[in-house]
Amino acid sequence: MSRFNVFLHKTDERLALPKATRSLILVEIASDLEELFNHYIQQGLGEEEAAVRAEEKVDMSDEALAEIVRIHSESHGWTDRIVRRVHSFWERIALTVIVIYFVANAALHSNARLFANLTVFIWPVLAVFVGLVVIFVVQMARFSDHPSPRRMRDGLATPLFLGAASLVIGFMGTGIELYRTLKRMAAEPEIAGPLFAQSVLGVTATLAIALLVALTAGAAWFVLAGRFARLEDDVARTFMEVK
Amino acid sequence: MTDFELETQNLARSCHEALILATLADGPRHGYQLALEIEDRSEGSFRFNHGTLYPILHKLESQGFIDGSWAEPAGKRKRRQYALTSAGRRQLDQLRKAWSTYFNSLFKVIGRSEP
Repeated sequence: MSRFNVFLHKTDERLALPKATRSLILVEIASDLEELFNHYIQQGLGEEEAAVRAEEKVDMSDEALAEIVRIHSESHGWTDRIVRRVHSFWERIALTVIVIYFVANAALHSNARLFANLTVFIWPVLAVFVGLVVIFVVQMARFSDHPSPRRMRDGLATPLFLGAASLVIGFMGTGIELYRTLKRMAAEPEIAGPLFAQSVLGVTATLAIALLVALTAGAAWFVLAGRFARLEDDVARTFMEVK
Repeated sequence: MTDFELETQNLARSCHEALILATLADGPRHGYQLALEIEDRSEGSFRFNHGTLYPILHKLESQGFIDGSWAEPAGKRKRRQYALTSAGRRQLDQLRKAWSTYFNSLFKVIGRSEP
């Protein structure tokens, strides 16, 4: 640690941010302090005066600190906070069990007839699922290249958007399909019963798969976001230990 | 007026952004280098306290106008270095136009001083 320990710890205490983010900001400040110190030494100042001048130059006002905290709080949105909160082993296990329960349930109850009953809205849902798989694989591959946290943040929330898209398609499809059925039932009242039953079967099967894709998207996002949080912590730990 | 207008309530921030982006247009810099170079190039007119500099740098980075990366020169500690992105270059062009327009309008009202 440097001669600026006290200054850095005071600044650290004023930064209301996650440890990893705080550490990276402090490393940046520490390196600038050292460079400014060397600059003032080269200008002919004594060590003590150079250190004081460097600290004065780098010291942040309450407004500047508040601004820094605001900028970094924006980048750590509510989604990040959920991931960082769900950190215990048992919480992760519980989430995994929930996902496995739904996927297994759907697999057990799916059969050839279920797929035969699906509406045309299954195709965009499947397209979303394929997109989700591709994005998940690409993102995981990018993680293994040891990139910087900032680069990895881009596209991190994409699975969530895809999950939301799947839900929207599922519910919109349900509405449209039911509307079409009701129109046909009005035109052909003699077969209204079978028509309605067939339609409900189709929309519920499609909606169930759309919900399953959304759940998978949520799980994929959770894995990626957890991986990102670990990456950020690792980078921060490599740079500096902050109590 | 240009499409991109300066917010009169936020002139200081806009000025700082233009100074930083213009300095980075000459190549990547560390935070302390930026402050010293701006002070030097403006012959002391713009004195940057780093405390002011960090929020602006981090904001510009989050907006994608500059890209921060960690450099580790041999035998030295890790340092944060900033480089202008292509979006930052476009933003700088817009800021240049906006400031020219602003000063032209200002001088129309208050007049220029005699040399």
